[in-house]
Amino acid sequence: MMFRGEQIYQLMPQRPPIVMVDVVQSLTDKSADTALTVKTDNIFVENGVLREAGMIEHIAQTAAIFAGYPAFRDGGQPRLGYIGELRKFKITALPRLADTLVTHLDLVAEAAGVTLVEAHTCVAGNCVAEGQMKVFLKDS
Amino acid sequence: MLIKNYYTILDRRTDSSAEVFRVSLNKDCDVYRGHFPEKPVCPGVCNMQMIVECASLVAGAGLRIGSIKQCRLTTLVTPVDYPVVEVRVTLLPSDDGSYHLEATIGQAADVYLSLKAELLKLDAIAND
Repeated sequence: MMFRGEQIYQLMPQRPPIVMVDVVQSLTDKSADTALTVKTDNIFVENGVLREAGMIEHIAQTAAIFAGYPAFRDGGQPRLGYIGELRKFKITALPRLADTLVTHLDLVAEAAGVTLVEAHTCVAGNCVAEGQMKVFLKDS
Repeated sequence: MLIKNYYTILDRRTDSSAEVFRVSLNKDCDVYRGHFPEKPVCPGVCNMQMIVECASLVAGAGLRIGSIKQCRLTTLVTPVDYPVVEVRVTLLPSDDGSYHLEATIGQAADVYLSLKAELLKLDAIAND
């Protein structure tokens, strides 16, 4: 399934100014692919680059969309997904204005409302961030 | 400050090897319009950024995250329930110009977020 712009609001409760996913290119039980283009009005942009917090939030929202997808597919409301833990994260470069972050996320493990995922984010084919994240889901 | 009006530093003290910043979290910050509508919750990444900014004050230079060994977010922090928190930063310079960071956000003995990371000078990566 593909989602763009405000269609993504069906999948997560975050709203502007902290929506950090523009496109959900694919969403399955095992993986998710998303993208974000860095624009001047992004609250995580400073001196023409997207700061680490923005990159991590983009990955966290991808993870929250992924973790909440089964509930969405079954007709439920978007659930609040909270970051519980980050591990083995690397931020190798900071994207610039007009760059597009392309993120691929794989499910690593899942148990009792906790989802562990691994994400890789690239810009123009070069990896800029990678790491593991645990997301907790709560009913909104 | 990256996220305008997110917090205000009230004071700073040295506690053995750590620099401790007492900060107030501003519930009127614009970020809470979206995180989440009618239910302000501190974005974990904004609290991590607040740590990086406190570490930059300690270093006397702008720093950014190079890698995160582990970051645990154990308590859901909101600016309403936790209007004042302590950011505790221990920053050790490495020979290669990076910094080893161990930091927490909490109050007294309670820890809401802990972060172990390597920080890099912001200038060093701007032209990557």
